[in-house]
Amino acid sequence: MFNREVINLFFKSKKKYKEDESTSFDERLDRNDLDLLTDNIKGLLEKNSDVKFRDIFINDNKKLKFTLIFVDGLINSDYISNYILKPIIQEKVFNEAVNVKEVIKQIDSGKLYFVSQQKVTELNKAMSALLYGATLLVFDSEKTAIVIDAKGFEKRSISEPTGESVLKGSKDSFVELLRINTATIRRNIKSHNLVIEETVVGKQSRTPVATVYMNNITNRNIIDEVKKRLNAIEVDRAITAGFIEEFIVDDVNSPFPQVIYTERPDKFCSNIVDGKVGLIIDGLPIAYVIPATFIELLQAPEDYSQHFLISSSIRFLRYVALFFTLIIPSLYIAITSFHQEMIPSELATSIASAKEGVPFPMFVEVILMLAAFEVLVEAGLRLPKSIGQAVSIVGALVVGQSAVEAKLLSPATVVVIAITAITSFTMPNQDLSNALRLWRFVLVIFSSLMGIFGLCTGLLILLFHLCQMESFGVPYLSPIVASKDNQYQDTFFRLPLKFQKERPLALGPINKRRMK
Amino acid sequence: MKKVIILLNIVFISISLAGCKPFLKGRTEIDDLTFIKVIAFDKPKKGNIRVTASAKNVSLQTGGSGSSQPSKSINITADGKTVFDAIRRLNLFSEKKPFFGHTEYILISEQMAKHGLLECIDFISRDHELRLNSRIYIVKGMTAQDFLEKSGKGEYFISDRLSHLEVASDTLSLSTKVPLAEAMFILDKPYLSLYIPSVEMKKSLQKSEKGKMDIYLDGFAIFNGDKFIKFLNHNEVRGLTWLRNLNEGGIIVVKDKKGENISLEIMASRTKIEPLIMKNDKLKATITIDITTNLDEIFGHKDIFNKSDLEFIEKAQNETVKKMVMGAIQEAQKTEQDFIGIGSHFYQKHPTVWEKYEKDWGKRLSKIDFVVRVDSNIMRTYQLNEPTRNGGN
Repeated sequence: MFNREVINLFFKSKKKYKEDESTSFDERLDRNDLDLLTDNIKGLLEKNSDVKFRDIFINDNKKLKFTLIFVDGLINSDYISNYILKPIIQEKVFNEAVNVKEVIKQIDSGKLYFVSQQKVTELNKAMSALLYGATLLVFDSEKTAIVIDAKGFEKRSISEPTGESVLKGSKDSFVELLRINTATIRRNIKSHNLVIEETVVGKQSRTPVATVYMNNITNRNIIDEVKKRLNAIEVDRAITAGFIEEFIVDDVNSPFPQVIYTERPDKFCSNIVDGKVGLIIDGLPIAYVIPATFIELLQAPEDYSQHFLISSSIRFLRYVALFFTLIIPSLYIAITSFHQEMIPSELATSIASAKEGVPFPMFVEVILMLAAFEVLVEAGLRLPKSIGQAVSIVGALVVGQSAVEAKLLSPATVVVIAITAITSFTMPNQDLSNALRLWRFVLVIFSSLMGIFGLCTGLLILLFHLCQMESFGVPYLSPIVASKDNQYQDTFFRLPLKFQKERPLALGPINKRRMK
Repeated sequence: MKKVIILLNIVFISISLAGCKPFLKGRTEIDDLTFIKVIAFDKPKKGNIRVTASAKNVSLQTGGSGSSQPSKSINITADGKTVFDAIRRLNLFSEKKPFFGHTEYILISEQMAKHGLLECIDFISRDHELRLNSRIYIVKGMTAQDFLEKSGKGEYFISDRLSHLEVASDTLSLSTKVPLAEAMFILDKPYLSLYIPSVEMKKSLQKSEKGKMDIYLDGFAIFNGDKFIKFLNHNEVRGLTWLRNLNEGGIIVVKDKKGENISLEIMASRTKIEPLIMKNDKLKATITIDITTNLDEIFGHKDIFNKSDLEFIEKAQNETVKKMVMGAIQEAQKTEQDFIGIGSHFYQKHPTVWEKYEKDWGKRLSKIDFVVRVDSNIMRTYQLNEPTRNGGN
């Protein structure tokens, strides 16, 4: 009925912007047909207030002109003035130079007082170096630039790890800067076989990502697969952790973590030496270890710094806690509303008498409490630390006491959820903990429909899911299923190191033995 | 994706809108149940069975101070033509659904037992809620209903009281537990006879409260098939525990040379039965009982810790034990009922010739030549070696 003109009366037609010059520069940059000239760089970057251009004439000679280009705030200006500009202005060799070619030659042969410099003739390379924080000396007449890598910007110093702190172990942690992290790794593994390769991910953010592995240990297939998947990533930005994680994992739909994150360089390095591949992403104070197996999610860094009896028992406790946090609420529903004969008589009587007067069925109580717990956790995360305490007070008082006194919940349910919550805090890996949170709800629904039969069905589905998962060709439950190597030394218990003479064979390392 | 959404919708709608009953079948809230701990069976008149179920009074625990002391138990009684009929009728008299998954004790009155146990046991063993490890007791001297109702007024709940008594009677070897499964096993074997511990309510020894009744658990009822015959007396009961190798403790009182009492506590006891087949199908059973006792108490003043005195005491102890065991054996031979389980020993030792004996086992039992040997060993004397006032007289 309405034709387009009528509609356009009411809606502003979209303005078509004229293609401005920078777009065309951009296209040409992509095509790589721009010369390395100051004007071209200006064309690309002149709108930016933080990119500085400064023309300098050596010895006041109009012929010996170059342009100093840098991004303000990313460079160390002391270095540039003292060790780059000063020698160029003052040194005899430069003053006596006849033409630009000779200046470049002199710089190239090391007449500047700086360690990291490079001659570049392509605009592309020069541009990315500039934006990563290098300083360019552009010689227009020769279409050449000298890249001086004198970065200097504000950065966080290495602090103690916050999420994975240990009592007996290094207090090192990763920081946001890739270069500092690679240096930390080099300090830990001094072998010449350590390889740190870099690629760039993210069309706009251009985040450098380093792939770390041991040349003489790590299985080639895993390395190639990681590289392949990294190169296949097509995102705009790789600034938050998920952007890379989600693109390289095998099964996106599984809530279980398929790469392990860590903020501890020592954990990272020992995994690398075991034959895994590491990923370090610039801008993230964590590193990834690939591939992950389920068993490793329950290994805490302390396990290897304590006596094996103690760490074995603590690790076994962790498995018990895993089981508890997963099934306690659903088991509680199942036995209180389907299989009352399974509860010891006295307990059954006391649960029943406490439940007297509570209007909800058991599974509604449990689901309400679980939801309340999740809300409390979430609220505690979101609120600033100073108000955070209020949440726990409100939570404890309202849920723990008043709700019970008001006969909205039975005390047994509160105890059950409390056990669930406390045991869930023992998980060393937060991603695993989150996956368990999700599955806990699934199991609760299953068991409130069909009792223990439902619970077992749910657990079987979970087991099936875990069994069929694979991470970079390594079975997710690997030394336990799909393995003929019987490498149980470091699974449910941590046996003494002399029993762990072989590297994890599921990873297919080139060199299998750790020790003779 | 669309298919998944449709499927989820169907599941959601069928759960939420179709009424939860078919989906949540079998789900009952725990507070809608009364946990029956004890069931009692009576036979008030022919063709009728009375079932009384007893549950702990839960509301006592949640507080509420009543002026009069409320009953410890909630008893529900119903009559029916069969046990199942009566048990279903229990629902009529209870505000909550009776739940039998926690039933620990089955009390059967003397009349019922005389009429036949199988009437009650069949349902109990067939039903999925009731358990095979619940223990059976025969109520002596009153109806099981009365027993439950009177005990409900006491200080303890009946099932707690019974479980304390079970532990206590273990240390005294006055009674044993007979779970339903064992009773069924014995009933299945025609040559064996059932023995079931009996409970009794007697006037309390305490004088402070008038009319207070105590529960005693110190006897056995023996059966011919599923029909009750008689109760065993105290000594026969102890003999039976020895014969069945169930003796775990207890006191043996003997006299020393001067006729003073000495108490000996049984620390360990082991019974070995050796069944023998002699010529002309004559059967013989040698029963060897090894007893280790500690000397606990001496009435006299004389130091008896010398070889001759101790040997005399050991001998006296042997005689006492032998008497008890023989008492039980004689009772079995007299009634021709093998409640002492000697038939199983013959069967296990001589399975090939057993078939011959199996049919008229009762008669053969009465002709078995029993030889009882008791070896006792007095180990220690606790903190004192010599009696106090030793040498005074």
